[in-house]
Amino acid sequence: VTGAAQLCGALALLLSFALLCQRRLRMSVCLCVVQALLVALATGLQGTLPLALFALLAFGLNGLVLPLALLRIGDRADRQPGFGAPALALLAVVLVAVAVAVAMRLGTGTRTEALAVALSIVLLGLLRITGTSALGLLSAQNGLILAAGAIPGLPPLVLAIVAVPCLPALMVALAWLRRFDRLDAAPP
Amino acid sequence: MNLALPILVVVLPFASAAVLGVVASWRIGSLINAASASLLFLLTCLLPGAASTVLHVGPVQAHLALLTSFVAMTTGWFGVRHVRAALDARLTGRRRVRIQQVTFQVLVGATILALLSDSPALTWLALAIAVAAATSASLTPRGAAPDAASRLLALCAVGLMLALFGTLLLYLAAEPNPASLRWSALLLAGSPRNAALELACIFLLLGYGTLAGLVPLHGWLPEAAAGPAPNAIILTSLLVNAPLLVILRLRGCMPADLLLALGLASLLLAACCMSSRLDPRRAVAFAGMALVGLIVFAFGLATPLHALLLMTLLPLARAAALQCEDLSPTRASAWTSTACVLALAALPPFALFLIAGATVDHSAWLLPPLGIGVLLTSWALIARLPLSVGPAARRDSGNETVALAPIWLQLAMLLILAVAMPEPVLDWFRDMTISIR
Repeated sequence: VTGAAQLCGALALLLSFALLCQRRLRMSVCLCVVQALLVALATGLQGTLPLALFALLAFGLNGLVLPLALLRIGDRADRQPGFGAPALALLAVVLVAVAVAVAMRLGTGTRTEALAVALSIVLLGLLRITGTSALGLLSAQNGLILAAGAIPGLPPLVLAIVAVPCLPALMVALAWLRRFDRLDAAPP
Repeated sequence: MNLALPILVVVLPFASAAVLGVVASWRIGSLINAASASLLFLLTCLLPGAASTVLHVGPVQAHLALLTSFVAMTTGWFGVRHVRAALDARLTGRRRVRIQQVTFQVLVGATILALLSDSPALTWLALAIAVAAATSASLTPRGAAPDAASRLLALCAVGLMLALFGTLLLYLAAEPNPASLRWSALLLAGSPRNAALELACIFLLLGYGTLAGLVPLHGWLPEAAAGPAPNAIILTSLLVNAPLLVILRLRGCMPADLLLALGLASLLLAACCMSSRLDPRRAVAFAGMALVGLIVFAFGLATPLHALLLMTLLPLARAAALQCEDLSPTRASAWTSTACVLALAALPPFALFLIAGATVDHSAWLLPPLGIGVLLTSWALIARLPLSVGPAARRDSGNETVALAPIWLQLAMLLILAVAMPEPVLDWFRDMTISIR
């Protein structure tokens, strides 16, 4: 079971890279949904009931409701970041290296590996904010869910805070408002 | 009663936000706003010495909550005048005003909750609520506003995400029993160091540093300062104290060099950004950022007494300077604005005077860049000085003196704290320093 969870985490990290290169909204949202599913699997597979419920709630909100809302809004304000794809990929690799180096200070073992993967996903998600903010935040939230799953015995308040993606939801709401604004501004 | 008081203090602003959401008239709304903030100030006056099971009311927390509610009260009074002026000049609509009044109370409540809460997760939640409120407040009817709001949210969200990761690591560091993690217990434990705790502190410093306006991600601060005035005052002058309190609590586990470097970089960058062409609110925001840099520098030097004094002076000066807006152009209001700018310009040299000795003890090489940053900041403020006060008078200035009273009240407190420093107040500050050691 541990092996399966690790595999899910690694695949989620791979999807982070894919998300970084993907510029089309529909495809990016699909990647985000799959990533949320993998993260939920990695968290839920650990076997305790509270964690399974947490994973289910997190997937429902972060993996279904928000991405579908974003797709429906169709926020096309996807800006190219200031640097090209090679620089972006290089930066991403550096961030992952930093994340691994940071996590290795906590010792070794499966928990450290999970935290390293989680931190990488968070950092890559925050890097993605330079493109579409809402998608980047969704992806970073996936990383936080993975991290929360790797730490045993968290109190319910913390699990609730991590499971309910309030910041990505705000960003999606802003994207919705912005579309509203653009309709206002459009010539008749 | 004593047990319920802290909870009452936290709940009151949220309750009045709910009431304000229902009240339709802006006139009654702004009166409720000011009255609720005044009641909050009276309640927080009773706060020192109160105990609670959920919240933690130490001397520092009580002091900062008192400061918050005091500035919230004067800003509430300022809001009555500001809303009338803005509606007269057709700068805003009535629905906007109502949203701003609701978010004002939510911001005050979230700030006090973040200060008093004993659980790191609750502190994070309070700050997230504050950021959400700030974002919805900075949406103005039309134009470029959603972009400004999404820039503010994106930067603050990066900070909050990093801080949440740090909070999770904090729970990992409390390994055998994560459910019992408390800020107060973290302080008392004499910090048995482990790798997870040190790592958590670095993430919390970067994350909450963003919310305090520290260097790598400070870009949201001018955006927030340009928003609607009463909310901007709470956001830029009071909210920064909550993340600073977290950094103050954990400064023992943070690398001192990182604190010094971040503080110095913020000071220098803010000093370079100040130019005389900046509009007044952004100039105040950058001056505040320079002072936050000095405060974090003082954390790095391990002089908490000076840092706490600066954390008290900064909101008073910042709020007074921002409250000088839309005064009618009389001689008295011109003098008031000048006094506010001078007070704000005097703070960086005052801070340098406080921490110069400790800086030389640490390393004399730090003094020249510190001095340059302080000089540039103060000079940029003083260079704006022949101030023109607002456009033409909009109404009879009969109640002008009443409008100026809260500003002078804050300036007087500033003067008492910075110059006179009577013995009881000094003891009060010493008590605080002992409680966080």
